[in-house]
Amino acid sequence: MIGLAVRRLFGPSVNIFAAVATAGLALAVLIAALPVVLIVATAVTEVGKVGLSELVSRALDSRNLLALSNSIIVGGVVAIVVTTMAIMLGLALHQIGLTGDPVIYMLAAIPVMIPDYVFGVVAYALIEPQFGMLRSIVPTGFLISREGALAAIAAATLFKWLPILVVVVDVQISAVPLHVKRQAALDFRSRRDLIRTVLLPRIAQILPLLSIFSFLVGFRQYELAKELTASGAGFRAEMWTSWNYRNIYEFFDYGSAAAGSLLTLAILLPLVELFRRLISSDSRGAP
Amino acid sequence: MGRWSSRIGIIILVIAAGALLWKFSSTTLTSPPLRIALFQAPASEALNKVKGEFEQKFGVKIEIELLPYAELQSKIEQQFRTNSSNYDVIMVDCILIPAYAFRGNLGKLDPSVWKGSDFRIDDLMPALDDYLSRYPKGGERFGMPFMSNTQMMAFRVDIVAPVAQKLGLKLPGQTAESAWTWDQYLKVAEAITAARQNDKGPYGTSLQARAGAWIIYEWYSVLFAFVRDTPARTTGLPMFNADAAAAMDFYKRIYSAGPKDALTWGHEEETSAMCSALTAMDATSNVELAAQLLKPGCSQGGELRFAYPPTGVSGMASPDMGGYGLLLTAQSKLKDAASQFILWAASPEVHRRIVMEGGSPIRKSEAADSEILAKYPYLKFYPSLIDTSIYRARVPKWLEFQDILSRNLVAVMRNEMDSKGAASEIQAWSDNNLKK
Repeated sequence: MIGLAVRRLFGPSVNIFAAVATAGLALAVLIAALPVVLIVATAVTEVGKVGLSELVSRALDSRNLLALSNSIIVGGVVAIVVTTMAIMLGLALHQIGLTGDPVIYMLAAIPVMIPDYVFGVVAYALIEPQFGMLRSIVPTGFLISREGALAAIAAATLFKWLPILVVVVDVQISAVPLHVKRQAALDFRSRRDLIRTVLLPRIAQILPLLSIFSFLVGFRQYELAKELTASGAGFRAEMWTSWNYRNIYEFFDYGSAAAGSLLTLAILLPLVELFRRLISSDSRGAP
Repeated sequence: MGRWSSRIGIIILVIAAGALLWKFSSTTLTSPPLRIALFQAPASEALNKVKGEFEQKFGVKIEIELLPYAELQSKIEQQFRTNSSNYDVIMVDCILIPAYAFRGNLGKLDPSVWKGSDFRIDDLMPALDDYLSRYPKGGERFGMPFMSNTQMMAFRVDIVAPVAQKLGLKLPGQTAESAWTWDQYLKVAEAITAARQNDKGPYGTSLQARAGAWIIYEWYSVLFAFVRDTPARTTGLPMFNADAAAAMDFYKRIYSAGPKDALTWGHEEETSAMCSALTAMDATSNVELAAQLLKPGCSQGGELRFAYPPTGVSGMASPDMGGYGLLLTAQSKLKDAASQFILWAASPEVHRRIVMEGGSPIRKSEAADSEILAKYPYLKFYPSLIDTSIYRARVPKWLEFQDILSRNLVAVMRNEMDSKGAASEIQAWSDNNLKK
């Protein structure tokens, strides 16, 4: 069976290099799967120690659920806002004739390269209640409310990841063949028609990628959340990754962390699949 | 072209072989250095400056890593969890010592290996020495105290004096007898805050109410103002009953007399608020940070004075003891040299210089040293503060317990929970996890 798979991958001219490459691929998959195996093994061991009901009740602990819901809220908001804005900005670049501009691509990569703590320092300089430059504008207690803290996390995520997703949209637009664009220019009266009938269906093909990716980016925020809120909103704005990290590295409660991870997987997988189906059905019929 | 490329190839090979040889010789022909991880603080920087003296005296090379608190902690934790510690000596926060000792991450230190001049172990402040070097209380020694901390009251005389006078109170002094009670402190704080107009003027009190270690370090002092069980002062683990609920409600009242944003404040923000006179009083000012308040930049808000912290139902003050120990790791392969270094750093002559550079006293002689007192006058009542200090519970699960305490206290402060319910939730967790 492996031989068949290798032939399928590399064709009849399978040779030693192809075999090595396949072995490397298999190893990479194995290594990638290892954490999942470890999590499942830890959870199973813990079931033996404390019992399934105890483990489930730990996973459904109010702290876990609050942190999970915070992460899902931030992920959802980021997914909707970033996807919408990336599409709009991608189209705007097309309108002003900057599609495929290498300078814009280079600039877009900068925010992603900035470490999270820099965002923390900037946020501190802007909105810290005692010294922040915008302290007279930012409402008192902004960071100590759950809504304020989650909004700050979503805003920083947006600033960091939006430019690179605009590039993804832009690449998709610039991949429209020139003859299609020329034909469209002949067929349609306005640019709006070009966007509606050619560009938007094209962009719709990458909607699942854009939205799921930005959802996961928002969901997994951890450092940024801590840096921006200085834990000010306390536990009500705690993100799931941060809580799980503490479970493992501060409290050494591997059982709860493993149970929590499986719970996340159980919630995330259907959620992502639902997302994908919804968006795919919307984009059906794209040329 | 071919000849040139083969020459370049040979040169690269020679350089690579030389580099390998150098690496090999440097790792095998010289003795390995002592690796030490310290939390970034004036005391650590002072130790880093004088490490050359130890190298000369004992012929052991020292490598010191100065790391921010969180980074140091997570690095050490990860190394311990994976049995890959490459540090011989680590600087450990008092609240983490029980967990490390319980899990076997620390090595036993024998003070008799000391080869220097008289170590004068009886000069160490006993409570501090026990808290920062041993686990459990009076148990195995894993190192030596290095940086101590407790709390005192700080206040702006010009703001507090007129309000206190109106309320018929004398200003608090530097002895237990002349200290205010917590009720008096709260009354003055509320009066100062009530006098604010158009969101201008100082708040009565400062807080460090950021969720987690900060708020609990502060609240524990308030808690023991309400705890009637005297033995609990030495275990740090009282019953979380009606007294604890009253302490939560009281802290909530203090918070209502302070800035709303104090819920985001840690040590630094609280110190800044006192420095800029945004707040007029701090009942739990860190002695460790008092030197910052004496800097010229803080003098614009008028005279800043230190006093004995407020007293509670027991008639005693309850400042919260903190600090760091220099501890030996269990995985150190250079235990004798590492022990020697720890003892050297805590020795009378070396540690005195560290205190002069901004460290905090661990020895009685340091708190009585005229030169040190001339530079840091507030240290004159330090030994009496240490004597009345209370501890946070010395339990391996402290961090988790602190999380439970913090969650419940913050919920009470935000009116999301009733204090009695919060106290009973804490007690239930304590019964299930700390007393089994």
